Amino acid sequence: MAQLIYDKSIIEMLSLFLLRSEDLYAYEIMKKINSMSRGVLEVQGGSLYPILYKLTDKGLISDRVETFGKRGRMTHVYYHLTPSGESYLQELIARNELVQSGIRNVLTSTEEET
Amino acid sequence: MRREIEKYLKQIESNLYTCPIKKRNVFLRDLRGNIDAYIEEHPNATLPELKSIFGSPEAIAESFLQSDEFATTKQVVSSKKRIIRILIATACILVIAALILGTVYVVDCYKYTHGYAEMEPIQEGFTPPDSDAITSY
Repeated sequence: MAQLIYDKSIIEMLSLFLLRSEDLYAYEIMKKINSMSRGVLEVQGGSLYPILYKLTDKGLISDRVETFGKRGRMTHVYYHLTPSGESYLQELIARNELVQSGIRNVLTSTEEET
Repeated sequence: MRREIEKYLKQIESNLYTCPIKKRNVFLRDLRGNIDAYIEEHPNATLPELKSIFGSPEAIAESFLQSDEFATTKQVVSSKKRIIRILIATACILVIAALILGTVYVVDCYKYTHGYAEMEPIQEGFTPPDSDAITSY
């Protein structure tokens, strides 16, 4: 069963990572997180949108609107990773690796060490 | 299904009443596009399915209001509401005061115009108490 992600920094990191390779719209980001995690992780639209808007406001990603559909009435907002977003992503990945290794250390520590 | 989607979007919109209108409209347009993309892939999708993918209207509003920017907006809205409440209370007090003063004025005017005086015929040989002053005048 897929685990819903609520942690903002994880959603930020995964979204920015996916935008590194191509411009995507929100639903594509949600789908890719689910498929690339082999169905383990799931992000709800409600959690993703505020984060994307915040990243846009901070200039870490940029957005552009593209119309689609028969009459061009429907729109998709595509997000694009900016250079400052790229450096922020590096920072997030490094921080996440540190946290993961810290957690691993705690979980693998023996009682004598504590 | 289209009607259900519109209802869902309306519910989200009403839950996001504290968000700035411009931001809310951008979000709703964005969400609509994503829902359309989902429906294209899953033509038989149901409303509960959409809610599980994109979130319930309440959950969406909550996650928006949790973000710093919208929390600030919420504070602005609540302080605006407080100011409006104070203004309404002041207006009520002024109206009540105006009503009381108006009533007093009307009663006073009524007494003035509808007053009466007791008249007695002056008897012969009667001299008013200040007759000297009248005479000298």
